[in-house]
Amino acid sequence: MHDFQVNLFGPGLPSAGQLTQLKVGRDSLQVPALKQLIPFTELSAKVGGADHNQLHLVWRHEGCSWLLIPDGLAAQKALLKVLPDNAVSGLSRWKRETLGQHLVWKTVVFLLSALLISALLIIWRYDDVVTWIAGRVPLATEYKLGQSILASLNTQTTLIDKGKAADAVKKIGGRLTKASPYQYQWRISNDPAINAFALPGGIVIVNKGLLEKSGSANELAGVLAHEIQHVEQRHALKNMITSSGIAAAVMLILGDANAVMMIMAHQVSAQYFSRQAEVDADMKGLDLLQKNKIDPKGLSAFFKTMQEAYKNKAQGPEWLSSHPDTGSRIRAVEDYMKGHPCQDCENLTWNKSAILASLAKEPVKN
Amino acid sequence: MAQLNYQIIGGDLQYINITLESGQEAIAEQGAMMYVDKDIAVSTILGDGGASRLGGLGRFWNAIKRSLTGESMFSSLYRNTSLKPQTVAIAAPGPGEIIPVNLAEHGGVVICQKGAYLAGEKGQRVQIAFQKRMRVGFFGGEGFIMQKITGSGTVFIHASGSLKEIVLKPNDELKVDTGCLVGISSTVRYDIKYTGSLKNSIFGGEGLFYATVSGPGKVWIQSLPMNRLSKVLMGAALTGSHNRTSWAGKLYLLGIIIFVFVALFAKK
Repeated sequence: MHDFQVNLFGPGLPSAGQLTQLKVGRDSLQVPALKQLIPFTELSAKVGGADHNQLHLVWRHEGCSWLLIPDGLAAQKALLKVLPDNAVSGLSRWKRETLGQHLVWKTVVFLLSALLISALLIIWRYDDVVTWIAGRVPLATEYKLGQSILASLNTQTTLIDKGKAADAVKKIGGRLTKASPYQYQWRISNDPAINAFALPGGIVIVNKGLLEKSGSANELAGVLAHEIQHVEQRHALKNMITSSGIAAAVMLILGDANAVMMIMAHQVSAQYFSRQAEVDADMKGLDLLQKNKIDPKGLSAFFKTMQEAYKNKAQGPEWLSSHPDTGSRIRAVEDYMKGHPCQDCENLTWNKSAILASLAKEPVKN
Repeated sequence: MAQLNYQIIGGDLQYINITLESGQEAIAEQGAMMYVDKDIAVSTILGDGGASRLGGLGRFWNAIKRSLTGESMFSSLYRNTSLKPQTVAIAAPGPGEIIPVNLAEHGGVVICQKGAYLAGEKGQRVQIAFQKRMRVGFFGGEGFIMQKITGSGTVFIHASGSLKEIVLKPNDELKVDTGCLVGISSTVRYDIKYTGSLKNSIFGGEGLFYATVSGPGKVWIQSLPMNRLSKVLMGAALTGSHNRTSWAGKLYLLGIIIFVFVALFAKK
């Protein structure tokens, strides 16, 4: 015989139950206060309580429902030890259900922490992750992407790939891309805006306006090195991947926000990453210039020319507007040059007037 | 300690008049005071004023956990400093009823919906009752966090609408609309049940699930949950919903994701 303290519910008892003594024998329960003897086979076990962790033992006696709950979890544990699983109906099911609850939470906690850790890993090694995904994209896809953008550009502006200007760009660009896996194509656009840009797959387009404003061939080389690094580092792909990643994150985080909020959140975060890409292209562009023995001061000189030209205008040149603050870029470039002096780097020469003269003959498409 | 002497006054917008004997104390949530007599000293205490094994830091942590159950981090302690009985009047924060619950009748524990606690005696604690059944947490209408009020003496709980107290005998079960549950005693099992028919759940306006409570024990049910009331009021106050455009934003973002994947990874 084992004694337990239990809370008893039944007809004539208080609604919150009555604390009483329970005796458990070999094959029956005994409630001395009620003078009841209940065989195990008449009992059934139910999961009960607000926490779904209480053992409720139910039976019928003289047409009425009776129920008992062990008083406290310690008593419940002890009672469970002496009750045989196979005699009390529902007891093994009770054990399964309460155990299952623990397992569910353990699984949830495990999955959530795995998710959190991988999210943190992705944020921490963001560069590596995006580089890895970009590495899954074959060069051919990149090339096709670039070609399709080029084709649509061709219908809007005149793109020149022959003549003195194209040759000058090709010469400097060729020197910078000797060791590249990409097949570069160089184009001059007849657009007077000061701009240059790279398309995925190795297409670099330089505007006429940029050639006019560059003070020296080194400045052009600086801009080209920057654009080449956009291609080499696959920034277009990485920006696309980042953009879709941000889209997913914004959807998860903002959920029910309205469209304007979502689009703004997406644009602002995408902008942040595209600025990171610009800084990356600046720094790696400098490295590329020095490797090819070209004096990198042209890049900072070009930034300064731009800053000067647009000092009093609200809207900067296109090539700078999507880019980080010009002043900080100049400082970063100059810091880099101080840290990496290049004694045998040379100045390039070009015949600027001849190049511009050759472009003047080209028609302007609008 | 002497039993709390109180009177609940009003029909739908109620307050409690508590008469404190000399030296007697009562606790109420912040901002609930209506008036007090001259010799009642009002002081602010951290959380429910309970001690912690971990000292000050532990008390602070308890107060933070308490604030997760819809209460504020601090409460007000009212103490009668005179020799004569003095009155403290505590008002309910909204339309609805105040119900006094004698904790001793429920084994010293009741579990209530978030923010139900209004006032009580010193020494009672308001803690987190975390819903361990995931399906109940998601679909039960009360969320994962409820209040577990423990201690002795009388505690006053408040909920909007009219409150109904129901005693469940062993094997009694009640289907309750999700969100209408205010409190249960610790022996009551709170679960959910599928309404049983898709037609009911879509057109019936009762949702996919009922909450079920099964005995033995006591349950308190409210006629008008706050979110239902506020939905009615908001609907009357605003002609249009501001959330209509969220699908457009989602479409935009989804478009970006699909575009990138098709452009980069689709095989032709």
